[in-house]
Amino acid sequence: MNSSFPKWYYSTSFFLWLLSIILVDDFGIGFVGLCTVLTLWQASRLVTKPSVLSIRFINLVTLLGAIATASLIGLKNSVNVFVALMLVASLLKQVHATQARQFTQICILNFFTYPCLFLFTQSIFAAFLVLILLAVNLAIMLNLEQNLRFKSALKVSAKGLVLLLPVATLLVVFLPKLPAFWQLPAPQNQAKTGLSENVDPFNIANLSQSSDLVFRASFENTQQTGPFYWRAIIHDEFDGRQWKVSEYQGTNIRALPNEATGTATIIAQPSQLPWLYGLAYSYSRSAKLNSNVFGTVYLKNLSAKPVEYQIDFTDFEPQDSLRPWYYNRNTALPDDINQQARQLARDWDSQSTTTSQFIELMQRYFLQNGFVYTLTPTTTQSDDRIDDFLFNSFNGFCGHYASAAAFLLRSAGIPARLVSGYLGGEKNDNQGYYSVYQYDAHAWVEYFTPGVGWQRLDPTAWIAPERMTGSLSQLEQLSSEFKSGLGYSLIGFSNWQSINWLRLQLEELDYQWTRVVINFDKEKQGALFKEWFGSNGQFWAGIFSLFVLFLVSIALFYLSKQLTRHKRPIELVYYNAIVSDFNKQLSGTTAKQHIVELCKLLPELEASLWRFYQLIEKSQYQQKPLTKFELAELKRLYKSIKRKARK
Amino acid sequence: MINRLKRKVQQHIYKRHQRSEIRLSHNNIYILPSKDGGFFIAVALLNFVLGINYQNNLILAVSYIMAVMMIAALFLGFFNLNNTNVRYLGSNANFSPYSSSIRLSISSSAEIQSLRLSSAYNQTAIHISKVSGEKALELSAPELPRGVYDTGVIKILSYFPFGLVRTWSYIKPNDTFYVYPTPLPVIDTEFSFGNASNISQGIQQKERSVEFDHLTQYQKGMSLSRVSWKHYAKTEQMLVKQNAPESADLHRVIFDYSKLSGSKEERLSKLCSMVLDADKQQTSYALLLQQNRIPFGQGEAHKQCCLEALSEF
Repeated sequence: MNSSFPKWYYSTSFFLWLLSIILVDDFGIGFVGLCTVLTLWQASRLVTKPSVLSIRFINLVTLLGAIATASLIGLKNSVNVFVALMLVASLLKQVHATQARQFTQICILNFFTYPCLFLFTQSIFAAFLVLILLAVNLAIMLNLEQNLRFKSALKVSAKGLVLLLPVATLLVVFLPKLPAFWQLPAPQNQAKTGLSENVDPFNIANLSQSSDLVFRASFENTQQTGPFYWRAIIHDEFDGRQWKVSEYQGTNIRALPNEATGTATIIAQPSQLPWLYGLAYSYSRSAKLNSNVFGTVYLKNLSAKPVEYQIDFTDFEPQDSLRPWYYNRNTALPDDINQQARQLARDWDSQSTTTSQFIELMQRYFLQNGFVYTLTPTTTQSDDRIDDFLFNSFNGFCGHYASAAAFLLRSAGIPARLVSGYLGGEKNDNQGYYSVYQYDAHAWVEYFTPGVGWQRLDPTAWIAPERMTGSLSQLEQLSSEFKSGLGYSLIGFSNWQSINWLRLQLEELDYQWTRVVINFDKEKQGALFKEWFGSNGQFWAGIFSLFVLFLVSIALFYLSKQLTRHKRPIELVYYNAIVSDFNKQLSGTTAKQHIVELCKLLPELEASLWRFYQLIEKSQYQQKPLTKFELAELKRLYKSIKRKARK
Repeated sequence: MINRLKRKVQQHIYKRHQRSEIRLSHNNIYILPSKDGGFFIAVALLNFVLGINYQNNLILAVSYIMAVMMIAALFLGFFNLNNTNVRYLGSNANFSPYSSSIRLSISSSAEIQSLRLSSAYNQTAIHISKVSGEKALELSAPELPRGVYDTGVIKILSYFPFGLVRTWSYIKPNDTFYVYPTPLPVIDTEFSFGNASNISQGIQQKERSVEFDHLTQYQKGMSLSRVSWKHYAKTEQMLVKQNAPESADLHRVIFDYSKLSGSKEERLSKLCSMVLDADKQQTSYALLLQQNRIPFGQGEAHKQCCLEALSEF
């Protein structure tokens, strides 16, 4: 191995390994292992300095690496495999790099490999990280041409990148956004957030709590008050074990309602399901979204980056009756299970005349039998799960209560369905938006009353009424249980005021970042142009962007001129300026001779000329830097000599 | 066809650089992306396409950063070479196969980074990482056969700042340099000097001349070729070989090409070593190269004239 290259050139390997760790959720632990092996190999070669590897051997390893990568990730995830192969290729190229040119090529390749991280995450931290990696990368490139020290190379490259950043920002804002040339496969994201299409609460021993953000919502113009029930998925088929997503979840409405009671802008984090979040009866006019018959919205195409959309929402329309097939669908239950629960429902049905009376009886039952809200319920595998819950365990979370309530309602012939979504949200007081996290996931019931239509019923609220206001994170009672399930995350420390403050600040920064940077699309650009340049916005923006490009080029021109200009000491500049006035009259070759001649030409200036020479001699020939005071004196002398010499 | 066009363009460009001193400026500096620069542009385009297709502003921003970097590299590369003064200082001749060299001086009021200089005669360019003020340097022309060579085009090239652009210019001094024949010791006794009377003596004298008379202390200005290196290696004393005074008629020798045996190059090589020996002995000698005659003479200039004649022949 050629040891003439500085060790920090090999930092690239470490960075690539870091990327593989960040993407562990997408690439799997096996791939990280592969990258670790390659990085360790590189590190060991750095320490032991063995001979150069033969091309044949490297080719063999590359082939093996490619096969290993493809088999570890699976060819189905084309984007993931592609990015993973890039990482492995860069790592291997690094191992056998022996010439300056190869390092240059690796550095150039890194300009592609590093930003690939943005395909998976576009958080502000990812952006910051990639910026740092690119700065080091650029420092290597600089160093390959100039032989600087690591620190100064990094300083130059960081300075350069920081200068380039606003320019790139200007270009992103002003260069007209082109539509996608062709459809590329989206990277398969391993979204940690999102709901399940089938709700089966009885199988879950420990409700996983994640503090990952699901979406953020802000309301326009209207002051909305909670509780916010964010509807996402309607489950109207119960098979005895789980509530399945409705067949009509993907059925669109033909005409959108006319009047909305409110409008909300929502930025949803990427999820594996298309179903998005809305309030009450929601619909959207966005081209990216569909509005379905249940009053929820969903994505036409899954996205790997946060989706920003607007919804209009309104109350449910009063309905007199359901069509028979639809009534049957919403009262259907599998036979022969949960007989006790059915009997209970029949009893209540005979005791009540209206649906609300029936619900009152149900509420009384839950309250009088000591039901408990818990995130770690008793599990059951029996066929009569709801019986178990209602008559034995008496504990559960929202899924249990909603499931049982819907079953009881259906048993009495009242149309009912399960709705899953999120409840609440943490309000950011500065910006007025709500953040909804994965631990805010919730399930509740909607039942139908003739003449009134569909109504919401949240049986969990009877047991844990605090759950209705605010987010789960703000719930005192459950806080210890809740936090123990969270693992390590900042919200786990929300009791500590300073850490909570930091968390909220970061949260806000991320909100702005998502809204302003990540979701700056053609639509937003168009709106911005219109605001700034009037109705002919597109045209003027085009002109303006050309103008910006022109300005940038001019600025670069002068900047690079400035950068390459040799910074001569000011003493010599002064000296040359004085001497150049008398070029023709001077015959000497040294500075001292010049001064002697100048003294003859300008006898009245002799004293200042000699003092001037003294200072120059001190800085130039004795190599002693001048003090501030001496520099000021030098300047004064220069000015006076120059002034008098002109006369 | 394309090659002819290329050559024509090149000749046209070289014509503008036919000077022994050139100040690099906007009308004689050429800038193009290097091969790596082309790769860089391709990566920037790839990022652009990716950014557009995934509607990913961050990737798009990286591609714009790369584009601006490229433009900045063009400017920086230009200003790096701009206002540089390149002066041709002459050449140093040498005996084949040792390398002759072309001497240049590069000066600039600013600092020049990462300069590569190459001529038609050296495969790998010499790389100078930094020039501030003035710097003289030699471009070697190794392993050339005997002859006179056109100094040719000297290329001044830089990949500053990131290796993405190549900034270059030429200087084409209208000059030649010499590569003398390889000196070949004369062992054959057939050859004869033009002056028939001292043929045998000449040879004898030549062979005897290896046997020096005595050694004296080396003094500054004495020819280094007369130093007894053997002695130096043993005692580290610099002693100079003093030869016995030669007979009067040996002070005038004629070296005749046509009287020597062997191939043309062999004969020239022999003549070369004869010239060197004669010069060492401070003999007055003349050179007969068929039509080309160099009259009797002595000293450094005469020796050089003879060696050049041998190179040219």
